[in-house]
Amino acid sequence: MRRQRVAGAVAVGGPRHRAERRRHPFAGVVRLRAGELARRPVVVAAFALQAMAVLGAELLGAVGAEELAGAGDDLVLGGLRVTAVPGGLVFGVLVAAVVGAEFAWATERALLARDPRRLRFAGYQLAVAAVLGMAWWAVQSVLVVTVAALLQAGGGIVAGVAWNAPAHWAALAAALAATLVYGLLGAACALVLRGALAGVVALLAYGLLGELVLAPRWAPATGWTVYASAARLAGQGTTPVARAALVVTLAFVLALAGCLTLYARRQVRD
Amino acid sequence: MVFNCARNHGEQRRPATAAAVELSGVYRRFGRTMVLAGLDLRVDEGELYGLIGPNGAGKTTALRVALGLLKADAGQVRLLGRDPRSAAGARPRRVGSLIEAPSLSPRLTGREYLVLIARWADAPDSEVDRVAGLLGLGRMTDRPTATYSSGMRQVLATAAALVGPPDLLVLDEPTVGLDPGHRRRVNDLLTDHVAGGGTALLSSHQLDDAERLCSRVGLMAAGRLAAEGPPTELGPAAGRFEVTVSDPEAALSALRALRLICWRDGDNGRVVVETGSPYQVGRPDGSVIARALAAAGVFPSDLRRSPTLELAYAEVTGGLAPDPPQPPVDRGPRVEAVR
Repeated sequence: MRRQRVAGAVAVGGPRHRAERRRHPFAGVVRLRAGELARRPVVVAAFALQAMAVLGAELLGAVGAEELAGAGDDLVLGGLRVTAVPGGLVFGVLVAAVVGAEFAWATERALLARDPRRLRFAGYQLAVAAVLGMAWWAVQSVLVVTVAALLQAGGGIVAGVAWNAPAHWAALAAALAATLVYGLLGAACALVLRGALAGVVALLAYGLLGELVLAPRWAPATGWTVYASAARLAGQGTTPVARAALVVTLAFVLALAGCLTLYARRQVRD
Repeated sequence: MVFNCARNHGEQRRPATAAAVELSGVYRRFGRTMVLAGLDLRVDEGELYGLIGPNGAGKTTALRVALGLLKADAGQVRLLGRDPRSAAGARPRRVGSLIEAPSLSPRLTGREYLVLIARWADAPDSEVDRVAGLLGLGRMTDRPTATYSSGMRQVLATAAALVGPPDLLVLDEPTVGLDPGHRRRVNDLLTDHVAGGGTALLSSHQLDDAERLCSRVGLMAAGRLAAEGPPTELGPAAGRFEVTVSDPEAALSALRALRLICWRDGDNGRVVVETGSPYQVGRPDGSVIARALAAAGVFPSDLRRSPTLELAYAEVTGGLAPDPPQPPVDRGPRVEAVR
């Protein structure tokens, strides 16, 4: 069925409007939402919290007598090691809140009525989370490097170890991995549980209670958590790097598959 | 009460066109509550179909099932010829919807929200200006939706439903909370949408709007259609006219001379005229009444069809609507109406 004429409106479906259509509407939607996220207080607050954590860690590293996370006087490496993984968990909570808010705003109803592909909607949410995650990682990394450089230059701190490029790259990669995995877990919790509060509670229960409280008390789980594995990739801990990489990769894949599978079956009841 | 007669006749008169929405024997349960109990609903292309009924009758659930937002426990659902939940080969479809009260992202401006919908629907961004113009949104779209009143949100959500433009509109109480100006504008847009070849399915508690706008209405009760047909042909008031005259007795005499059943309704000069079954061949219409009155030297100040949906609704819901005007015991000869 094609509209022939709409009173007070233009006819559609013609070549002019087809040409007018954007080439990548999906990217346009993601870009629009990313811009909107920058205006949300919860997002600004989370970024500010992470910035304060980075600043605090580096100041402590600069004035403290002890070296920062085994990085000696290298504030860049120390700052990344200290803040990357906890920051990833904070980011996961932020994503759960952001994605879950969609269900309170009923955006889902309007979009799924237009296009029944639930995986497209889930992909849209995950893409928005990914954009936010990249911004999180970039801001955090730039802040770590900038603050460290300023402190070292201003305080006359001379790194006791040589500039270790592989270690810095590994720490940056680990920070990115922690951000993406926890972000995906947060998005998955919010999508499957269909709400911000439920998503945040689920992620906190998993991250804080499961990984940081219960797992260390149970020997078989030691070194198999996302938190410990991401920290190992950043250069902390003693678990084998290969196992740490496997855990992080498996967590990402399982979270993605589980999220998409479960969300595709959910109905829009609210 | 089921108005089988109205439904059957309504179906007979309809041309054989494709169904835009089709629900066949649809059941849907929430916990122990059966919300849809074997609902059969068909909305043909080019129709403006109104779904009315009391709260809890299952209207919103029926719309959600039709859109594929909810899965039917049993029965078949087709939307524009497809399973509405099927993702196989799916792409953005030309369906605009407004389901229940809109709650929009407070940080988005109205324009951004419309652009979001347009891009998701693979429609050009110029659609945003078009629908904003249709609903008279103006510069309101530059403000964050957090600053909107509930009525303005409703208008914005209605505008979002019109982006595309869609072939099919599915609207759940689109005029609730709107001021008279916007209510009229939305009603005009619905009429224009159908006149332009589109289809609309709406649920509403505004019986007067439904009676005026819809080509067919379905009265829902307890999860199924209790009655269906053109709004002027539903319920006990179908075929009734109300005439306001200065001399009711003279009017009654003139009308009874035509062997029409008629009676006075109160002391305000109003006379109710029963013209018979809506499906009766040769049923007299308003012009017959006007001519008869004029021939008797009685000139009505008002002549209109009686509102039908209100009484039909009351029958379905068990008398939740106001009491209809009833004929007195002595109301003249009870004979078949003739021209």
